[in-house]
Amino acid sequence: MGEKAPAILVVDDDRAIVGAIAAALEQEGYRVLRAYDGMQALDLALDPELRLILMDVMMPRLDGLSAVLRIRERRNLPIIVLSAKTEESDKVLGLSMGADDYVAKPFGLPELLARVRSQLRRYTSLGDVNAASGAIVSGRLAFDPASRTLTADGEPVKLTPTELGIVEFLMNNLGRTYPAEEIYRRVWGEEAFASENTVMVHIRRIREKIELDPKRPEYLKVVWGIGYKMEKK
Amino acid sequence: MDTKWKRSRAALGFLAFFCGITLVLHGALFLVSGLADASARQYAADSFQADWHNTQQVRDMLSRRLRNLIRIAAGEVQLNQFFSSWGSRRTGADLLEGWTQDKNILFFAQQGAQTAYRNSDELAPAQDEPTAPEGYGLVLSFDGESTRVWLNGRELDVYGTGYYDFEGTGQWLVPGYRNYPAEDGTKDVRVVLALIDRPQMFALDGTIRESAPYQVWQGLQRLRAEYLRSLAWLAIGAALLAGYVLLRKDKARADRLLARGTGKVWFEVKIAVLLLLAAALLSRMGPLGWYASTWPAETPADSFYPDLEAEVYYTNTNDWGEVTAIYGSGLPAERIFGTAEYTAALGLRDALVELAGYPGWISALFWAVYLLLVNDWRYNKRPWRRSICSALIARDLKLPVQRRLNQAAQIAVLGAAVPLCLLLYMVFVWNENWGYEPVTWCLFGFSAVFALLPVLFAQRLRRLWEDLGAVSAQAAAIRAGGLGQELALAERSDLRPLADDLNHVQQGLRQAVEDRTRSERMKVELVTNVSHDLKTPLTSILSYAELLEREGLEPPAGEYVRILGEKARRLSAMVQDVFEVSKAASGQLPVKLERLDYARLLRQTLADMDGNIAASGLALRASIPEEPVFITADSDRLYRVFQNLLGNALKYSLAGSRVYLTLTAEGGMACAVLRNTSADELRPGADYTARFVRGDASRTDGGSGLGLSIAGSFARACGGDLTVTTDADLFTAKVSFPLAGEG
Repeated sequence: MGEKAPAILVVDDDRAIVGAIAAALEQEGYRVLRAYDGMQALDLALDPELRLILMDVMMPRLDGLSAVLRIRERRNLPIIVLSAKTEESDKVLGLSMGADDYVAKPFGLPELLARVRSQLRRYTSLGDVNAASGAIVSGRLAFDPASRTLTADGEPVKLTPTELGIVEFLMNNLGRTYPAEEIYRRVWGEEAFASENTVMVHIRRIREKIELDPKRPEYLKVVWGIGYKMEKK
Repeated sequence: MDTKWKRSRAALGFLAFFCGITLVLHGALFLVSGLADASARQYAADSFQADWHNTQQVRDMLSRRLRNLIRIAAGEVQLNQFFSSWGSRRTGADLLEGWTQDKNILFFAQQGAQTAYRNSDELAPAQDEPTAPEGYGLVLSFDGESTRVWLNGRELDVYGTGYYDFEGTGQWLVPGYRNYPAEDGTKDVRVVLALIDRPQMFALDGTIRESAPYQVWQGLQRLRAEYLRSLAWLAIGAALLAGYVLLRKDKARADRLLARGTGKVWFEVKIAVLLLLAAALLSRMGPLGWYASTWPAETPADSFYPDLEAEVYYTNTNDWGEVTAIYGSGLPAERIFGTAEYTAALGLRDALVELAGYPGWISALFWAVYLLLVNDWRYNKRPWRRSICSALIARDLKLPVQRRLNQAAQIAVLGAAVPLCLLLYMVFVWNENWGYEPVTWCLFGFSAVFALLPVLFAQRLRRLWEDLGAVSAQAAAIRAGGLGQELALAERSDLRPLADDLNHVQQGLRQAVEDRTRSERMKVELVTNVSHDLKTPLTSILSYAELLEREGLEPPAGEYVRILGEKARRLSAMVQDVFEVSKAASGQLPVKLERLDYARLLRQTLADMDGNIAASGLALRASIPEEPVFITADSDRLYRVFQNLLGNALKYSLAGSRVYLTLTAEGGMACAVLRNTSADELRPGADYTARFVRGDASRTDGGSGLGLSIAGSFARACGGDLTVTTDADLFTAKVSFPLAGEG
């Protein structure tokens, strides 16, 4: 990445956490700016080299969500909120204030890094290309029906024919839940028998390829007792 | 000093008011009764005559004496005959003896030359004016045809037009009128009477007697004094009232003081006093007056006076049996006080005039009305509140409700019995005269009052069951959790204490619920805060452990770091579990209920955990129906239930043993049962769904001890239930949900 290494602003009132995140990010080759409260974050957010912000919520002087709101007035760059609050409502609040992603504490470094990479890729390389070419987009994912290709954060995802069949079917019906038998019949083209396990195996494999944290999927979800669906984002 | 003066002014003001009103009332009433009709006005005028000989009373007295003497002289009356007067029996001889001894009227009577009754030798008949002794100014002379009268030597015109006018005044009722001529039997009767100028008392049989002239003379003097006195009263009363007007503000203070006094008197007592006074007054007139005045209806059977007076039922006689002039000789019966005809003819005006004759009673009634009604109601708010009734009710309310109602029922039965008894009595002992007896009507009124008692009781019962309905509705509302509205019953309601108690219970409940809600909220807040405070350092630990792992440290340091990371991750999971379980326990877990297929959920869960099952080396035997089993639950939460249960089974089962999962739908319930054989010995009787309880009490292995607790909480939050039973080493978890209908 050399001299044009993207800068990332890490904001948290706990210096140890800032240190750990910074260490991990620097290992990845990013330049890291450190801030320990919302006001400092506002100052550093003006850095033109800045590409992404990791922002804690509960901080002295100016809390994270207020800082996100004020930064949003000036700059359009990805912001990932870090918070110990794990309620669904907290997550929704954070996202509605202008955050692009929400990571609950305590988090694992690999997951955090994956999200950072994902946001950066979308921010730097993702244009309106997919939308213009009639691709089906859901958050990080984009499926081009013409070329039958799936991209995650703009990167093409390699899928087996069966996996592609499942992804194609579910992407074409975003947000709708289908039972395993239905998926089986559509993808395999034959009547289902003990389809649950078969479908589930493929679902797991697809998750490995498209989800940032396969154990906590955000896109390819199981609706327990009903079926499977591709989340519409 | 100042207050003392104020107080005396108040007393003076009220005294002036009281005396002024009373005096004016007395004076006015006397004048009203004294000037109401013609005869009364005649008496009034007579009492102010300079010469008392010129009065109607004297004319009546002498006319009567003359008529009686004419009859005696003519022999129409047997002197040995008895006649009754005021209960005493006398003969005509007795009477004549009295007249003879009374020198206030000198008389001479003879028929022809035979009989001569006289009490003075100085009096003799003459052709012209008879000779009368000195001091006797009024002389009457009857010559068998007509009567002549001389006053102080001057003859008076007796007959006027020659006709006697029964309605007129100022006439002598002596024979000789054209409509009242002398009878044939008295043609040769000669009677001369002379009246003394200053009447004296005289003695007969050693006793002092008041003779008729003396009574008349004194009566006139007394009457004049009374008129003068009433005029004086009026004048003094008016002066006092003027004084009251000056002091009326101070008098108002006295009024307030009096009102404070009368305010303490029971309302019923006031009413009773007023009614008694009114009844006492009314008994002088009207129907009660009639009843009271029947007593003197004594007819002299062998009338001594068979002349005009014989038509008169009731005559007032003096001690001598002589008819005194006060009450209307020759008057129609309805004009004579005390007769039934008199009362029947009594109009309202006459009745009021009649009442005016009782100024004492009237002023007593006036002051009673003033004190007990007017003044009392002006200064005391709702004076009827302080009554015997309310005192009884207040006493009554202190009793327990059953005794209160029992007493009321007894009184009601008693009340119903009284009119019933009266009715029976009337049926069996009927007397047709009853309708005329005032006592009958009194009895009717009396029993009507008693008949009110059952009616009142019925009303009370009605209120009782209305209140009972309100109380039970309130109890039901409290049971349903409605803790807001309190029950307000009437103050005198029988169920008021019950309602008050219920309100207290409600208050207590509300307080308890509020306390509990507050403490639950505080608990959740505490757990939330604690878990937040735990998560921040945990984040650092996790991050640095991972950074260290990346360093690829040499063994054994690398191994240590790996263990650190693993334990930190477990700790992180535990913190999340604690948070969730506390939220679930306080009922604050948000659930999204939807209709789902229980069988599919289990199959999906098994497929999802396929890897873990294979890795555990255990055999899972699932018996899940192919057809859907629909229930209503939160799909994510229910997944967590089975994830935890299966995770537990995989973790704690005996190596190589089998785990059984069955789903059955029976009797409206869908039951998933997971059975496994525990590797460790299970402690019988332990509650495995309680928080931090595990098969092994020493807690050295992996789990947080919250898995089953979370599973139980989640199942219950979704509307289902989790029960755990152990039988030797067999561990059975049963998750049941009510079946949802098709569609």
